[in-house]
Formats: sequence, structure tokens, C-alpha cells
Amino acid sequence: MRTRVMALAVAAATLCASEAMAQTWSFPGLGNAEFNAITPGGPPPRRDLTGAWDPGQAGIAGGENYFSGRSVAPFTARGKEMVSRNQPGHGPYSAKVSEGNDPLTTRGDPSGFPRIVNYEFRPIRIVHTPNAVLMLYSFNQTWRIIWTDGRKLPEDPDPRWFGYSVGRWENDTTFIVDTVGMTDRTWVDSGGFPHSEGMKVQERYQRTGVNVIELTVTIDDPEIYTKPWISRDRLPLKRLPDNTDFLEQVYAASEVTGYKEDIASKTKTQ
Amino acid sequence: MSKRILVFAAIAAAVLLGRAPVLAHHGAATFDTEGEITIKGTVTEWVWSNPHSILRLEVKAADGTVKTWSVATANIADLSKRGWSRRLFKPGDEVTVLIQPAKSGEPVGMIRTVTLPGGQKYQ
Repeated sequence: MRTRVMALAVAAATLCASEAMAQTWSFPGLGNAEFNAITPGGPPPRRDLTGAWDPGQAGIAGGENYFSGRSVAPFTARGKEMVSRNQPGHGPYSAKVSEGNDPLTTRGDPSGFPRIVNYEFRPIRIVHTPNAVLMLYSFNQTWRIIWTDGRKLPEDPDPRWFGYSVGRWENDTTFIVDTVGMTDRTWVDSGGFPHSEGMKVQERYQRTGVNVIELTVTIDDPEIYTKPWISRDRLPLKRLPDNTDFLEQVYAASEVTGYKEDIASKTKTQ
Repeated sequence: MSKRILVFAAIAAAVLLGRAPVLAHHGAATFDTEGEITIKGTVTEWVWSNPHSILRLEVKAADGTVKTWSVATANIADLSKRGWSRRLFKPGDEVTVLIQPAKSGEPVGMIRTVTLPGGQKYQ
């Protein structure tokens, strides 16, 4: 009897703890230990990505291979010319912070797509509707609509920050998203890797369990890169309680330019 | 269901018990710094912002002159994970800050740790 009472007390405390966590406002994302503790769990549901998901530290900063540039395909002549103009804060083309020209972190431009999943990929909420899947990004409080109503991608689209996206289920656990029409004002990531407005991007969301989705992102831009390359290779997204409220993390133009003026510009040496 | 609750309980416990520091994603590699120094002063402003939060403090030199330093740390999400908050500092607080100063000689730098008068240290 005593054992049973103890078990019930532990269960009640556990439930309270989980609800307390889920009802917390402004959750900033999982720490590494918490992230690593989440396992795939049971078999995945059929054709469903619904929920709150955290890409963890790798989502924020990008993989080691990625920032070293080793996984990026060689540039074309046009790609070399474009990357030479970029002064990023990370990766093989890093510049001094006083000379940085990252559109996101020095001007407050939108991340755009695919940068939103290649850098500062913070917790995300995925919502299914009858004709679309909505990606709600906590970073910069932004969103994408992935149309699933059978429409074709536009043939000659006006470039947009986040492009035009359609999605389809390859099988019961794999959702494929194709995107075109991204403005070349954005970078592919924080390493200053450029892209043209003819770039095509494919995302592959593989639900491997109740608690895990693995994301692979392929960049196909023959004007800039000599062959397609993978910017995210099975990046795990771990499940959070459905009612987790996310921290609002906006890179406001006034804040990023304030940092540039107050700190970055004053680090310049002769 | 019970397994899911346990997973969330593990997360909740970690949240309640505090989080391991996470390296700032904007490392100091491209911030032209030189060594580390400790400055002590009075907070004039704590700017909770992205991509870096900024602490401003007045530091009195041995000759009595006062210089205002602006020292930067991580973005608000990474700081939140490490227990920092918008209300962590207020004007008038006396703090001790370990920084990497800019090589330029300007009174700016990157924060390594901040210690409050009670001894609480944030990194």
C-alpha cells in the first residue's frame, strides 16, 4: 500500500512538473542535455508532423562540417564572384566583426529561406490544415505556408524572401517540400554562401518516431554551385509539449544596427 | 502516454535545476580581442537585445576619471537558457565583469563573466 501511495505521489509530481514546464511562457529552447535525453519514442503517426519541435544547438549554429565549408559544393565563376562580396561572421569566409555585412545580423533583413533552417533554426511549430502545412518559426517570429493542395510551383516567380513552397508525402513518414523563387539578397546560411534566384531547395522531413523528425535540406543552384549539395543532413528535431510557448526572438533592425554602431564598429584596428 | 510524461518530466527537471552553459554562437573568433581583463563599475544600462545584449557601465580609473564601457554578450535566447534575464541588472548595480577587450583600444569588449555584489556569477 505504502509503495503504491509513493508511486502515485511520484506520478502526480511528474505530471505537475510536465504541465508546469508546458505552461511556462517564453521557452527559449532545450539545453544540450535535455535535447540529447529525448529519444525517438514509439512508432511515428501516419502523415503527421503536428507539434512543437526543437532543432537544438545544431539547428542554431549549423553543423561542424557545414561551417567548415567541407560539405558545400565548389563554386562556379559566378558563385566565386558573389561570395567575394560577402563578409560573414562564421565559416571559411569569416571577416572581422567591424567589417561584417551579413544582411540578417548587420541590417536586420529577414533570414529568408533556406537560411531560416540553416542558421538560427530555433523551436518551430508545425500545423496541418486541409490544404497546407504551416511552419511557424520562433526565430524572428516568422512563418511559411507549404501548399499541399496539388498546385504546381510557379514557372517564373517574382522573387520573395521565403520563396514559394509545395509539399507532398513520399510515404507515410516522409514529407517532401520543394521551394523556388527566393530573392538573391539573402544568404544560404551565416557563412556568406550566396545563391541565385534560380535556386531550388528540397526539404525532406523524415518522422523517425513519436518524438523525432529528421530534416535533410538539399541546395540545387547550378548558376552558383557546380553540383547540388546538402546543407542539413538528417538534422534531428525533438518534440516539445504541444502547448509550449516560445520565446520571441526577433532580430529587429534597430537592435542589430545598434550593436554594429555601439560595439562592432569600435573594434576596428588600424 | 506515461513514457511521454516521463520525457517531459526530464525536461521540466532540467529546466528547474538549471541549464548547462551553451557556447555563444557568435564566437569571439572574428572579434579582434586581446587577452582578458577585469573591470569593476556601476551599471548604467542593460540592453536585452539581439543578436547581442549589451551591458553599459561606468568604470572609475585610479586617477579618478570615469569611462563608460559597452560590453556585449549573447542573444536573448541563449542567455535565457543560461539563467540571464531582462531584469538581471539595473542601473546603479555594482558589478565585476571579466571581458575580452577590443584590440582597438576603445572601451568595448565581449563579456566572459559578470559577478554581482552577492557573488553570483553569470557566464
